[in-house]
Amino acid sequence: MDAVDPSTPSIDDDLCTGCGDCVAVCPAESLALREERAIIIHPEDCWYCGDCEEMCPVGAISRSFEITFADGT
Amino acid sequence: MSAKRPHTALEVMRSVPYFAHLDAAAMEAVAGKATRRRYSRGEVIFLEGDPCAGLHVIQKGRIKLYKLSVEGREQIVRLLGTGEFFNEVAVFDRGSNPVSAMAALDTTVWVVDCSAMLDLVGKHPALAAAIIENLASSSRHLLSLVEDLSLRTVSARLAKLLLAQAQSSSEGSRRITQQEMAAQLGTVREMVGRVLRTFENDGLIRFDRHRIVVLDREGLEKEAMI
Repeated sequence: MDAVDPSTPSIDDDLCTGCGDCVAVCPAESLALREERAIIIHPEDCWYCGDCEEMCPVGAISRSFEITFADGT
Repeated sequence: MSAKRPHTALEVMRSVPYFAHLDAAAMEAVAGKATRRRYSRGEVIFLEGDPCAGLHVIQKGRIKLYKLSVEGREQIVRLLGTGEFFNEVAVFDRGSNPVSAMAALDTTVWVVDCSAMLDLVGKHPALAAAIIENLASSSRHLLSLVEDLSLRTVSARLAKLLLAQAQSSSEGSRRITQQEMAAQLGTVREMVGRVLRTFENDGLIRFDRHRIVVLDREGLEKEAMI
């Protein structure tokens, strides 16, 4: 399993088929294919919008969320 | 400063809340039969249907108990953490493992095999009482899960989960993915995504990058039917 980077979506290399759908859909152009696997090449540009997660046909991309109350309680 | 972490079998058994009332002899008997195993995050500990893997006590980490459909869809039955134990059903009905178990984080467990556990329970009534207490708690949790899956809509289940996560967030809860939410709720990730967007459009929550902020607690409670 990949280490979890809290600032960008996580990509499971074992599941990724290198189809490139996530690269095509990413509005920030943060993703690219390297050696037939998707990687985040510009993490600083990632909006964490989830388009890549929704587009991935094999569920290889996931975003994790902390869930909080607005008032901090 | 945090308390010293338990690392021997005896220290770990003492740290289990359900074992708090065991006398020293029972505690030492259980610890004496336990062997330590370490698992990396994502590693399978045992599979549903395999012969009884024994009683597992969590020294540290997090365990996911789950069932898989033929198509590979996952239903999380329970998430357990430090100081909890699991798989007593297979030990005491002498059957196979009723669920699969995976390390959700790097995890250390102590395992007492089935025959040793049955022998210990026969000799130490306090241990039997502790096991029964834990089984009762598990039954209560499973009844709540049945209620959620059969009587609540996906929206209601998700609202309930968001409220529970936000509540535990103040106690240092970890982050959760939409796939994990789906596996807990008995649905698929796409449905979770759609319902979250509906909640956002209704002003109940707000996405703040890697944070989901509950804006309208009462509205979400109403959605959750609680």
